Amino acid sequence: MSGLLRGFLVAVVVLVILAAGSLAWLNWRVNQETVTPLHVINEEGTMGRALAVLSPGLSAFPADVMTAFGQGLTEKDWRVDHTTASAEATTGFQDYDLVVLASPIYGNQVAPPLLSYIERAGDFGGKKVVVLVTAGGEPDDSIANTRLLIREQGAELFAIHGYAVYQSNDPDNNYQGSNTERAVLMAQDTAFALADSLQ
Amino acid sequence: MDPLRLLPHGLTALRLALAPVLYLLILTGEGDAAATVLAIAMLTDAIDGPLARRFGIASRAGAHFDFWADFVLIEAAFAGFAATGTGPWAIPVLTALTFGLFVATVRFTPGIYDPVGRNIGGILMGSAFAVLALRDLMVAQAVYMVAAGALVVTLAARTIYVVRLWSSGRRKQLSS
Repeated sequence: MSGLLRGFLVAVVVLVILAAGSLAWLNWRVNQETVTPLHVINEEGTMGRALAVLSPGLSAFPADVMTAFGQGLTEKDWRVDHTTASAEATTGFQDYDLVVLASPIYGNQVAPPLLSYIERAGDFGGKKVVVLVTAGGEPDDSIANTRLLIREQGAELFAIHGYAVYQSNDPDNNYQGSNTERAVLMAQDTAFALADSLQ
Repeated sequence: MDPLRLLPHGLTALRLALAPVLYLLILTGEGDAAATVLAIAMLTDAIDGPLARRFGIASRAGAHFDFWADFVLIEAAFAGFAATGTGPWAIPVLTALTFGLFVATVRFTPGIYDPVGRNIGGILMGSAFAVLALRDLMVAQAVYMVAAGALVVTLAARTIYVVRLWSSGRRKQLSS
């Protein structure tokens, strides 16, 4: 075997080992629940109260979108209780006017911790549900799958929004910044408009 | 001089010129266009060397131009991913360290057995293309980990080689 071919094969073996190890670790990681205590923003808010449940995923993008959505609500004087999707996240919805769920999409589905939370929450106590999903490319299929999932639980899906990393979120060029920065601004404006429509 | 003989350098220059375009396309979420631009750049990388040898104009300066064009293109792709907030800044940093170490040790290169490093440009370009073509957030994270792992392997191989070379040089100096 020539040295060049042997070198190439060694490189391939190293890459295959790295890829297999990475996928195994990532698969384990996305299935892990992150437990966080309830973090209240604008405790004195009088216009409404929202429960924001995030499945953080592997990058900061879903959390940035969720934070911006929460800011949009608090600008309209809503109180927003933030937490992460886990077995310890509340499923008592009686004090809330709105439930906001956010998750990255892996393989056309929301992350497993949010999937478990949705199954546990059932119909979300009849409260309105808004879902925010972040995807690599076109999020339409993921939105359709998530819509079906929420409806199967008998919950009232008020709105669902998808934001992509590698597909333009703002084709009409209404916002400034990178594609993901625009998504964050869009989420904030969406919440701002939605708060009005809920009153 | 036959203008056709300038084609290999022209292709390398095109790759260099595509780097800022690629960065902007990634940042603005134009995934299809970014994947196309990267594919064109990878094609120029595959054919500029063989064309230079065919035309008999292969040179050390041409090899350095090719190397720097690869470096700028790879940095543009991974800096774009990092700037979107979904990729790690560690990869552009590791890439800069690896290419820097390569420049510093290039005259010892024949002595280094580093199959990953020999293909690192192709590995990183292929990784960036996989992120843009597949567009799955978990696959993208796996690709970043593979790219970072390959960079660490080649960085470690070169560092160990340079340290061994330096210590054997010192031993010779002490014994003489």
